[in-house]
Amino acid sequence: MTPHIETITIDPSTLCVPSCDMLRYSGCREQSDERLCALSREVYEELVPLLTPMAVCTRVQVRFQGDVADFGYFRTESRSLHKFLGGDCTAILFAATVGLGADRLIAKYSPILPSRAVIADGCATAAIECLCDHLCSSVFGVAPSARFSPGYGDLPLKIQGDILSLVQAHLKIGLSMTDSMMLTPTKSVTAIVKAKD
Amino acid sequence: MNIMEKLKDSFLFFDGAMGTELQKKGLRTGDLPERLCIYNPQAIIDIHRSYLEAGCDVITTNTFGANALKFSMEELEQVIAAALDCAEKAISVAGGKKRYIALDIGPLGKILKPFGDLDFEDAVELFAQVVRLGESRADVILIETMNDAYETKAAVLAAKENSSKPVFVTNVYDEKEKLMTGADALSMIALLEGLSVDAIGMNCSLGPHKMNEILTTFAEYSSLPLMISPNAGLPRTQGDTVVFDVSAEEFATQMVRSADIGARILGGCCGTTPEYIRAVVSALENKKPREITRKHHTLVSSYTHAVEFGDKAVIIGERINPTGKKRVKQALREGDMAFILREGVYQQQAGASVLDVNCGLPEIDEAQVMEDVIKALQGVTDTPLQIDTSHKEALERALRIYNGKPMINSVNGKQESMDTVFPLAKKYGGVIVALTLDEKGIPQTAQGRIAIAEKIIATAESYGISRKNIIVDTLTMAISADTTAAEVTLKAIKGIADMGVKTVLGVSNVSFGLPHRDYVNSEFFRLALRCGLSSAIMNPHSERMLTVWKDHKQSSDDSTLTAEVEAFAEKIMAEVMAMEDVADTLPVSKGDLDLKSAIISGLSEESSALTAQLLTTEEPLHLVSSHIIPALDIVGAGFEEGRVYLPQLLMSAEAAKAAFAKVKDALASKGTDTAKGEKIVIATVRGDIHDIGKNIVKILLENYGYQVIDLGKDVPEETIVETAKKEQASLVALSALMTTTVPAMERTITLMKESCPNTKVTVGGAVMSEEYARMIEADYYSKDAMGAVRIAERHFADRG
Repeated sequence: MTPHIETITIDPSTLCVPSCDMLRYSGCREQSDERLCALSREVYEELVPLLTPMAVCTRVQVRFQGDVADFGYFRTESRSLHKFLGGDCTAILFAATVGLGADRLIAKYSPILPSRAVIADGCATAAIECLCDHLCSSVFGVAPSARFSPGYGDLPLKIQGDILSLVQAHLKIGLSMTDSMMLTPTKSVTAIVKAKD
Repeated sequence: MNIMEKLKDSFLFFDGAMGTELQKKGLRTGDLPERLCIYNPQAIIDIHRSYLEAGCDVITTNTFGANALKFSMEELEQVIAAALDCAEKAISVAGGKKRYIALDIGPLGKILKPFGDLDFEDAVELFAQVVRLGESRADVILIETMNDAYETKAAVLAAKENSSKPVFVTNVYDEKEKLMTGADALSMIALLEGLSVDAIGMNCSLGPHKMNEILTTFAEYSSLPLMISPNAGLPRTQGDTVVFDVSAEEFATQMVRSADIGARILGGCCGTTPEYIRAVVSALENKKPREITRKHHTLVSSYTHAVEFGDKAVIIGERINPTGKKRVKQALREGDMAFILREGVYQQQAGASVLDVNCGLPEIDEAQVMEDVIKALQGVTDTPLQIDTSHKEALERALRIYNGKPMINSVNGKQESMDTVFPLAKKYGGVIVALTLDEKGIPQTAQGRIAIAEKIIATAESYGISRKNIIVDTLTMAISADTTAAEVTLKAIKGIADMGVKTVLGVSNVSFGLPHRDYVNSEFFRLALRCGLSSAIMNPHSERMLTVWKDHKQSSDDSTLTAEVEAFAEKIMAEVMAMEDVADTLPVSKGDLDLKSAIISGLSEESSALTAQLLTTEEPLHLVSSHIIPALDIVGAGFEEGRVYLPQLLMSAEAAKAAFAKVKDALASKGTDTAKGEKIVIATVRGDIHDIGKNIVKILLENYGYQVIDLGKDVPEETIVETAKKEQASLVALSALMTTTVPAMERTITLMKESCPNTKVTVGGAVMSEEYARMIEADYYSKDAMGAVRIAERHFADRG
């Protein structure tokens, strides 16, 4: 059977993006500079109405043979994923994005005010991370950081494509992948979570 | 009776979901359910039959995801042929009333450039393959579940260019009544009516209740038959199965409402079954569809929103035009896209609702530059664009790749002009600026200009272009040359407006040859608005003009208007001749801030003002070496030592850029050309669509005086090498963000070493490391933007 795919839409104003994250992702290690903080708040306010945070997820049974994980719809070999999931289990596969609006804001500032583009980029990164944390803790009931993405450890980037097609990410939330395996919109994530019993 | 004849006076019922039915049959669909047409045709025939028995008129082929990105061409051919076989067999078995087949086309599953990697023309070709394989056996082409405006346009062009069958288009709207990539209903109506499709509407995602709210907008603005195929409400899991929350009865009740609002083509999407379609057909059995009326809204659009020419005049930014603007000329000649993009964004921020784009310079390839500029502009601004050209190829290329319904500037009353512009406008859509001149020149009377407007409108209508898509420009002429000029223009505006036709003026021509031009322009603009002017092509940075625009309120009783129009020229000329010249005063700097500190602190406005002030006493080049470069060095060193962060480094770079702009102006006014630095070609490699890092390196290199030739992102290896060769650049900077694009970087380096052995390559980007750089045989590697500057300094110093 085709798996049941759940689509989740989040109101962007409910995402509690920590301002320290916005600046951290913009390349600032400390935030003593009041002007930078004010600028990041200003850019974030411009970004919020452009965000369309959405996710799609599905539950699958994962069975391991050695380090080869069989998701029922595709297989992949990864020692680090095996370690993360700890063996056969029910896993949640999800794809999430804050939408194309973030890319558009970054593109708008990139040729005219690169400093704002860098901050918009940092804010949007903080927003997608925050969305994933929210999904983990409030929707899947696991710790915010308990997710594993293609590209982590030895988990091949290629399975991003398998996850995207399984959850029909393009159709349901407008998320797809380029030939060079970049997610588009760029502020997006695919990940695997071990479902709670 | 063909499908459009049937649609003339009756409803047209489409089928419901295919996927839901396949799942009910327990068929594992994976991601390519279209293969079932070949491997289990009976299942597909049975589903079609069940919908035909439920009373639908049209069945949709099981080809939603059939395209060459997912299938080989050979299999694609088989899938489409098999899908049509299934539909034809089902109809032959069902018998009864006349039934139709819709060739189903869904999205390709990729995002188009510039935010994805699929080229617009490649998308058109992918859709065209499907159309060519299936259209002859179908009655209608159904383009559905599209969640992006640009992809929708690609599919429509493919259908129209490869078939004469009717084209129906439905998009997916969310709760905010927008497509996933941001387009609202009005912009889709503008785009699709412009492309002359045969029916429009929506499907999927929403249930019928919410869809009816969006349908109301369609009914108010669209003159086309409307189509609606909602989901059976929202899905939820019940045990092992998925159920939807709207019953067949409730669905039918809502679809009756849809019909009352104006829907004429009705079907179902996810969760609907033959039971739902039966209920809809039965509920509407004795009803007649609502009459389709012509709407008269003048709309242009971008990929997010539409701009209506209505009560409030529309401001069209005039700045992207080389006529009389040295800096724009230079930017177009040198391919300085960043300058053009800045002009676009700043005009949008100042209040322009549409941006005029003119790339007409004799020494450049206008068609190519126009296409490049339109593509780049729509990557950074969602303001609708006005394509301003008299070059046929430039117009067609721009219309084709524009993501929305543009303005077209312009057509005139000459037969040759109308025969060139109207066929293109009919094919691609657009609101056309009609200049009131013809083979005999510009009439000297308002009546003469109105007569030409009438001729243009009549000719447009003979091409199938409605008068709502014509905006008449009655031509502003300089009052310094002819004191009756303004009166004729304004009276013609009044006459055209009284005909219910929209108008536009290039306002600033009126003051040519006079002092205090801004004042003259704004007073002329004030009168034009009172005459009913619908839009103005103007400088949106003029505060005086914007104030006039904001303050204007149309009044039905304007008894002094004619007298004021007739007296305008003499009165205004007398006024400005009596005015004293006021020199532009330099803004005074605040406190004891000096230029060096302003740049270090990243204060652009202050840096610009302080530079202007210093230039009154200092030589431009001395100012650069004694203030700007030392400031940049301090910030650069701070960044390298970890005391200054990237956004701060960039704010300083922007402040320095503002200071440099003043220096360049000063040199230009002295007739000295700015010395151009050493050339560096910069690009993000093929397959990589991230360019923020590359742009950061670019601004820093420019600040240090290098001449940066920016090729953009996702640049083919050959283009980079050819440019380095042509420009004789000894340094090329490449950026890559992901491991997957490093091979493209490596290929570029290999090709560079073969073709330009003397050119060195420096690499950077998130994925790069010293080790990686060595592996792919790059000459230099830098971990950040300042590092790239240091490499350039060393590279050019070594070369002496």
